[in-house]
Amino acid sequence: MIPAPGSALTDLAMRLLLTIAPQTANNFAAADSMLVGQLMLTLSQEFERAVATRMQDIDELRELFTDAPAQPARARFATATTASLHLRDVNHLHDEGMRLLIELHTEVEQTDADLNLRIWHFLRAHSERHKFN
Amino acid sequence: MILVRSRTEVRPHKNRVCGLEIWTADWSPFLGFAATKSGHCGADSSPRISAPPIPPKKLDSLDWLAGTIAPQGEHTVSTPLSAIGDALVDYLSAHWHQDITCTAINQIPGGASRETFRVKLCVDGSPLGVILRRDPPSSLIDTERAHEFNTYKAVFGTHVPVPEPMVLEDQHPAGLLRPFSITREIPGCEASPALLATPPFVQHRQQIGERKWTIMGQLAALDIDTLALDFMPRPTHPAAHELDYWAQVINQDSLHPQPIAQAAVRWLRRNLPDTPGKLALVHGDFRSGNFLFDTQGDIHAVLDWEMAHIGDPLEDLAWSFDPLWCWPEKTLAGNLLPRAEALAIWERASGLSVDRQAFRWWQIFASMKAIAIWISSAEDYVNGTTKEPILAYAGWPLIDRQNRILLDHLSPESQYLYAEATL
Repeated sequence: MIPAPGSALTDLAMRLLLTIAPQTANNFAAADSMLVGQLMLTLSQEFERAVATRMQDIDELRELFTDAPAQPARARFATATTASLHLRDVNHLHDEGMRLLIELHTEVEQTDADLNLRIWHFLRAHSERHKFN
Repeated sequence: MILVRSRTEVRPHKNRVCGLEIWTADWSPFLGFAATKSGHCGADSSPRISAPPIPPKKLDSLDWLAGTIAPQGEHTVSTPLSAIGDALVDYLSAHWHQDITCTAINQIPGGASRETFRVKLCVDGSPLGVILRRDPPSSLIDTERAHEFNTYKAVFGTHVPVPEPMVLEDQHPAGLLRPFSITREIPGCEASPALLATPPFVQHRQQIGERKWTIMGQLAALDIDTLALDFMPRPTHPAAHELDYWAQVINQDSLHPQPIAQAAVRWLRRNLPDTPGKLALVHGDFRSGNFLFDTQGDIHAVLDWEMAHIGDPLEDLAWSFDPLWCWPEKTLAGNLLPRAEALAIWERASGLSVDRQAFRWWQIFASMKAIAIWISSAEDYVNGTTKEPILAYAGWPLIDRQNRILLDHLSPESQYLYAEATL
């Protein structure tokens, strides 16, 4: 088994982009090949970090929620665990946290400047974590 | 010659994911569908297309791909493409009652909502280049085709250059199978925004920019009462109308919660601008990549009017300034001109004065609308039947970039690295 699938995916993408696509005679197919290659490069980035970035988001959301007004759903989120480390299960908890974040942001953005600012800090960090090169 | 067989229903906002057709133009330089690469009337009757040799260089971005790879060579097209050319000849011969042959056909890559073909015809011995845009197999957007076509008809002949609309077919003709529209080809032009940063076009950036924002201003100056735009609704509050539509797209199509996009929607609701003093025809996607320019720096046509509507004239100007259209460049709007200069050109051409507070609203709206389109595209990729890679591309890098742009607009401690820092 290849231990670093992300790197392998990058190598496959480069093969598609630099070897196969240039030899693809049909323009439309060549364009598709190039775009698929680009997407594979994007996916190779996401493949490596997907669980880690989401788990870090979840940790930071929990910390953020500790300073938020008490609310049952946020309290449940503080102790919730992912069913597994499969991405679909991590996504499930991550989505729940982000839904709660939207609710909290809506609730406090006009009334609690400090918490609002912390939420924006989280959003910036979240965006940096998830950005593609 | 215009052949119109479609009714013109008023559903202009339905499924605007077609904004992704921006990429049709973006891929053009290395895919070899420039008009000058096609065959000629009276030449070999076998349809031909160009083949793209791609040098082994470092692959940094789509911009690199679009900007550096030139087409060379030709080969015979596959049977399905030839069959489309044959079916088009049969259709037009029957409707135009003229002797028509197809001398070349190639498919323009990248469109998410239409299959687009460049077709060289010979009509009674005279060459005619046309652009055929056919619905994809799974399309639900049966009215946007008519909407765009009828907008072309309304604008054609004004100061705003558009391709000549020729045929609109809303039935399922034999051979061509699906509804389509045809416009006259404008040869010898390019559309890719990546080319604007490369020779010979880079020397003409100033001129192209002046022309772009002059045309945009002239569009804003058009009197909508003199144009045949009865098929477009006239909103009483354009900003609220547009915001409602795109906020709904975000709510309906998000595959994941979108906290930045939702924060933008709330900000926009809290800060709605006044109704504009003048309603205008708004293109809806007027940016680098959606107009045809030549090597002399002239613009010959503004394309892709599927999202056209009646609205606030500031909307197009703000959309054209979105940082995504010049990414990662920060200072040149649309990779052409400094924003302040572009704004001044637009003001002169339109005769309108930009209210800076309202304009800030429209710039943030533009970024929100863009992320709504990317969100909708990603949803379409996952849940729809069309698995175009371009839809998936919207779902990753484009949502990521647009999130960072919105953060730059809205975060309380923003450094304003993008649009607002340079205006």
